[in-house]
Amino acid sequence: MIGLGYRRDFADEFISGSNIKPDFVEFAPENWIGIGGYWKKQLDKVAEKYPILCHGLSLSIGSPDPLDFGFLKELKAFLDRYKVQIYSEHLSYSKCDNAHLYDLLPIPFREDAVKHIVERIKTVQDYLERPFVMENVSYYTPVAAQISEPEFISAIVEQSGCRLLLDVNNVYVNAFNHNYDAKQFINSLPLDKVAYIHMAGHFQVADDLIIDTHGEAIIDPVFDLFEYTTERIKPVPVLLERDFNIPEMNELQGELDRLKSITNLKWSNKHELIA
Amino acid sequence: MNLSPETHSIQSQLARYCRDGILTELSGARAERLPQYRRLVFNIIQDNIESAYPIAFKYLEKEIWNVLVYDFFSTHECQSYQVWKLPKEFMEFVVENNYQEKYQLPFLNDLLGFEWAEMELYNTTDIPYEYGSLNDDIFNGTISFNPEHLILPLKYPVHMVPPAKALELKGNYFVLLFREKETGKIQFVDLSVWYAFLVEQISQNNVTVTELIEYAPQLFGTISIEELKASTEQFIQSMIDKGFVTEIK
Ligand SMILES: [Fe+2]
Repeated sequence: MIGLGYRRDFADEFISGSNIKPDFVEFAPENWIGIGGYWKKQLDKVAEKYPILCHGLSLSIGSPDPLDFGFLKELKAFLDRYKVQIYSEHLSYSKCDNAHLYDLLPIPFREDAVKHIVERIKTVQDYLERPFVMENVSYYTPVAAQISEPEFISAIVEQSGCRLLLDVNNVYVNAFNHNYDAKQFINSLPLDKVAYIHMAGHFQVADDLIIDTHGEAIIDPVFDLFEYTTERIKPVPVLLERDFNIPEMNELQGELDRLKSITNLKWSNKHELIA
Repeated sequence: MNLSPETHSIQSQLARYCRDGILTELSGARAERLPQYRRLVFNIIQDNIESAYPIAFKYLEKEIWNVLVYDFFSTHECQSYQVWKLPKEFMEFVVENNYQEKYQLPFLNDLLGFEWAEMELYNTTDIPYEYGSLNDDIFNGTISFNPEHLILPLKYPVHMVPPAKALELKGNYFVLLFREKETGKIQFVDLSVWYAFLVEQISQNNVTVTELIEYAPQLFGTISIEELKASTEQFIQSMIDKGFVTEIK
């Protein structure tokens, strides 16, 4: 399955399905919980036509603040309502000292943070009564790290029992920004736990810095890294994320097709795994 | 608590920096990269507030606008987990801290209130309702309105004219906003105090137009009941035409 992130700009195209044909769509529950009116009708039409995967924004699993059970309650009802097959979130924090920040901040790669997050993931999984998938995020500086990033991610996945959303573009961005080898990094992750893949474009703002914008087409080296990854994992759903600088639908369909041709080649005869 | 006080404090420092932009040393971080976080976070905040308040953003001096946004994000603890509701907290912050007096912008609270009301009603959760027969007696029938509406009292007519003009027209205004069933678009209707009262009473207390008209002299002093009846009939008819009246029975 190759999916595309749903945006209001895409609504009509998704509903008609004539210029773009994703196998599934993904959106953030926070953008839709409690929404009514015109866009709710459009969302429901999209949900009737495609399987839905959700990728959250505000859970803030790495936050020092307590979990927000009011939010989790609304989230659970929403995931049930739209029969969401995979709910994923970011291995980051977006709320701190009782204030939401609405963006993804890097968690210190530390043992105490691992313990803290593992406990929280277990709580969320129990509460939502569905498997939970955590994504490796892009980050622009490490913060007070005591262990390596793959050690951090692996420990959380192994100890919490959650699955991994492997964002291949984020690996590429981080490898570039922090000077490490992307393939080696991928090899050091618990690849048997990968349940979902994200692919996206990014923007290089300086000689030594790439920002994960989701505003450009996927570049060839990221496609190569994707191919490398598909050789090492079981078939899983793959999502194209495009949030800004939206091109013509046939361009996006071209990217979906290219992803599909890679997965067809690498994953033929294998059954796709759905978390 | 698994998180050490040290890790907690490092996380707080980064979050604080993203909110106020005041760079302090953060252990084990690349100082030259930290401004990216401040920039990315603050862009999201600015974009959301600007797009919710296009008129206020256009009208206010850039410097003043920036102060409001900065003060808000650096001192207010944003509570909504949904970023689209952030502008509501911004409006409440501006009202509570009385920036309209501080910067001598007496229409500011009204303008933000009006712009937010439109956005909120546009997005708000659906309230189920149906259209029924509209043939019954306007005066003695039970009138139902589209429940997806609100009435906003204003001191300045920011719903009708640009802020500069609104300043010269201080008074008592009421604007009715309702969401069209099919298109989801928001309609605005300027209401006199009588019609604001009428719509509010009918939708909340299930009373008839006749009952309200009988009550009118107590509210408005000497008035011609006949004229009031005629203009009220016209008003209800216009609200039927606009699709705001859903049933009369
Ligand atoms: Fe992603």
